[in-house]
Amino acid sequence: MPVHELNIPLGPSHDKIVKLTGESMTLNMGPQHPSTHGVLRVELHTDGEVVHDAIPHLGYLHRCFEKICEGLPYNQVLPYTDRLDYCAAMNMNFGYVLPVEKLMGIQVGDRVQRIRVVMAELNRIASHLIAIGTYGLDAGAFTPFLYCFRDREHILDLFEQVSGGRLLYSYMCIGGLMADLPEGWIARCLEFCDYFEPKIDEYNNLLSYNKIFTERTANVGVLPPEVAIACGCTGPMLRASGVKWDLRKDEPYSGYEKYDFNVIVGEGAKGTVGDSWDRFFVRVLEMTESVKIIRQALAGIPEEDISATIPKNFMKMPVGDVYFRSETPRGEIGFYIVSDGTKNPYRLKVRSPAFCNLSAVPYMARDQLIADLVIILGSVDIVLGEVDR
Amino acid sequence: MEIFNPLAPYNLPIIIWQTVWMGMVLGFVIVFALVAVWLERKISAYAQDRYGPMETGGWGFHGWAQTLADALKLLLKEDIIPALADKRLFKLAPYIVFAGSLGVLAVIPFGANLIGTDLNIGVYYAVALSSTVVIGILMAGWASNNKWALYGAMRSAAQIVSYEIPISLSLMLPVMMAGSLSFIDIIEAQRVGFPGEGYFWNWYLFRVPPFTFIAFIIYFWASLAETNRTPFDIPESESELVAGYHTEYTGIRFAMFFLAEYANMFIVAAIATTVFLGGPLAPAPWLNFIPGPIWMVLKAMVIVFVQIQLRWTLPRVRVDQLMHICWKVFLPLALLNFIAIATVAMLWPK
Amino acid sequence: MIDWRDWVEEKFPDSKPEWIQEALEDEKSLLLPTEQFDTIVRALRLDDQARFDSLHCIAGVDRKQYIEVVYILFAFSRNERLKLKVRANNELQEIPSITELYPSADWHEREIYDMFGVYFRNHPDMRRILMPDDWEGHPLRKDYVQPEFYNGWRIAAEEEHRTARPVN
Repeated sequence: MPVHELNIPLGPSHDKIVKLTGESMTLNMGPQHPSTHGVLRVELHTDGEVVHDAIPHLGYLHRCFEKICEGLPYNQVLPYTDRLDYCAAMNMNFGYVLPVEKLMGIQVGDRVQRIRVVMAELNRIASHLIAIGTYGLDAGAFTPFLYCFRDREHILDLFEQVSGGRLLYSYMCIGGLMADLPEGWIARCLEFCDYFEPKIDEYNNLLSYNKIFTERTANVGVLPPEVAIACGCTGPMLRASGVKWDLRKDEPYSGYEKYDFNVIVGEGAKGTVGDSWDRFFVRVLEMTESVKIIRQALAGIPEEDISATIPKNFMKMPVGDVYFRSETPRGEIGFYIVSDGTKNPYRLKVRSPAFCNLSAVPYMARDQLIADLVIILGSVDIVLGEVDR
Repeated sequence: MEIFNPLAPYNLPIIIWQTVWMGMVLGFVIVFALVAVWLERKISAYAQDRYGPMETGGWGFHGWAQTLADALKLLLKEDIIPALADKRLFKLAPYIVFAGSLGVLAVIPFGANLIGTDLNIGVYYAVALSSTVVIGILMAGWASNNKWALYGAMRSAAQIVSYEIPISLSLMLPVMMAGSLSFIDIIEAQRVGFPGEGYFWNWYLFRVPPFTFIAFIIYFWASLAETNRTPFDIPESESELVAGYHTEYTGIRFAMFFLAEYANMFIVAAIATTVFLGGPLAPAPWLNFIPGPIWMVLKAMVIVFVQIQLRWTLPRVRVDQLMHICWKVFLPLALLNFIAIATVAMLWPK
Repeated sequence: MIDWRDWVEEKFPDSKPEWIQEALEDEKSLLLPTEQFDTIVRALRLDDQARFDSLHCIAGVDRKQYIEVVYILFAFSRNERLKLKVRANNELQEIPSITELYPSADWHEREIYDMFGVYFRNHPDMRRILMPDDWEGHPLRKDYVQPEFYNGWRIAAEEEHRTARPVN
């Protein structure tokens, strides 16, 4: 595809015109690349440093999750859901058990609901810490990455005490939880909340308000709200573009309607609304809101038996389909489950947030520099596990 | 003007002295590069709330031998050259980068008489030779047959060539004040000046505030760009371009690039200390019992420490922002500085 | 609350939409004919009363006699969800693509094509998205048989995965 054309007059009387055309260079970013956050191949058509077209190619991490689930009973599907978005595994579990409970008509008790909310919010903080740390790493700031991971270790310790796993938990099961909270866990969790809140100021000072970082990310990859909605973007990406939509407030589930927290919307403080800095900053502020929710959920948690509502078997499932969506750190995950009455799901479809967020990248990456493309990909915050399933 | 005749027997002691001296300096710089890598890893570790190397080396003292171990490992690695790479250029590139950086050592003064050769165009030679590194980097990027390496090489060429200008302009200030391009003359001129001979306020950094201070700052930042350090480490930006121009290099070739970078850091710091901080001069005359090379190395280490600290604190600037900083910020500033100092020198000749 | 079945029947009298009500109260789906599908969705998107401005998800279900494609539309302003179902009766039946109405449908429809083999007419870039471009077969069909070789590499069958081999 010729991008430059030059007509050069040659010859002694300058009568011969030689036409020189430039071509765009095609290069592949990935699948092995330090900045694509997983095995993602982005085919770039560039003219020097300016990207004309960025075409993502997926499927490098496709593990046939949906086909596997058709051969497993509902409770055995649970560990596989962890592996979808491995950075926010609790949210994936949550997203799976909610539609199945809706299908079976199970109502879980208050203690189970509150513990689920606390786990989901803790995992939201952990996932946003990864997003923020690796985003700084993409921009060249090596140190905030380690600070974020240091704080994430505390969360992983809490998760390990509860479920035995640091990254993949399978903690929530259909109708309840795998195990109740150990002794003193609530006190440790509140201690973590107290420890963590001042750290957000540290991240802001080190990264968010850093002039070089702001120059790199402000006004880069602006996503207007109409394009965001049209591409099906959800979660922090949509909120950063100015659309105030959060499933926890607008379609609350599992007791979220009881908690008081703000929905963070991008305001274009450092550039235009919907640029990469907004997407980054929305994630930073959402961590504060998550801490608020955790404190409220743990206050007044009743002492109940969590295994009361767990079904004995899945022999009598109603025939029908259900679609339920919940808010994960990356956006809205929707599970569409079709049941034919047997103990295996007939069809389990995952509407993954990162898949839809990634489809907006070609729109954002037009006519940006390659360095900006790295910033844009980092701000979308994809995890290939759920993009490819 | 007499021409140095290397075959004449009366010149033999000079030749022997220079060979021995250069051997010592080269050895020192290589050892310094190893120490600097270790220092960087420790500083980065403590900045990041972790320990860094702790095990290697006798008595396990904070892993002092880690760099030696790594260099040994790199020596033993398989030498891979991409199949379609331009083999001659590929093999030649690290040596050009290494030579371009280390050739400047010939004019760095470690003491009043401890210098390879006191060229009367010392500063000019230093700046010119250190810019030949660009050729090596371009060769590395092109010969690797790798589009990402090519990107790194192109960016590096733009960066180094552009930042030569603020470097030269900011170095012109002390040259103008000393009236000579020779390093030894510049050092001598920093001994006298203000009342109180040999004290540190005679150093060019403090001489004509704030102009020389601005010149020092510009030189420091431009030298970060010359040595490809963050925030200007775009040519080798790990997160964007895999490893930039030295993506395809393995083993000893990679080690040469790596060591050349750290040696270059020292050399750039050495030039800064010589020209702005008085080089081997002690801060006060009663400290003269400590020999000159120690002061030289100490001051260079302070600058190197700041360079390392900056790398782990700041993010990276984008390539067009880098160009903007060079051409629209540093260059006008350096020019204005130059004019200001010239005016001052005219009005108050010192 | 508008009854969408009546609304669609009013606008497109020969389309004969049907509600499909299964186990759950609020999970009913509207079955629409395949040929007029894109015009009906256009009305649902652009009409002032409807204005379903977001497409959430397109899912495919292999119902053995036909392949059912489920579209989940959402209206931000009214917080209302609508599930549409379309059937592709045989191998060759195409479903009109709604990519120009909802750009997010682009990748979802490619996934349906990849997994079920349903072709979407007028899609800008109809090719596989998750499986490799030269894969044979459509994995999520119920009658899918895994090929034994892919580009000369042997793909082990399931029984071979489960067989334990002796250690020596």
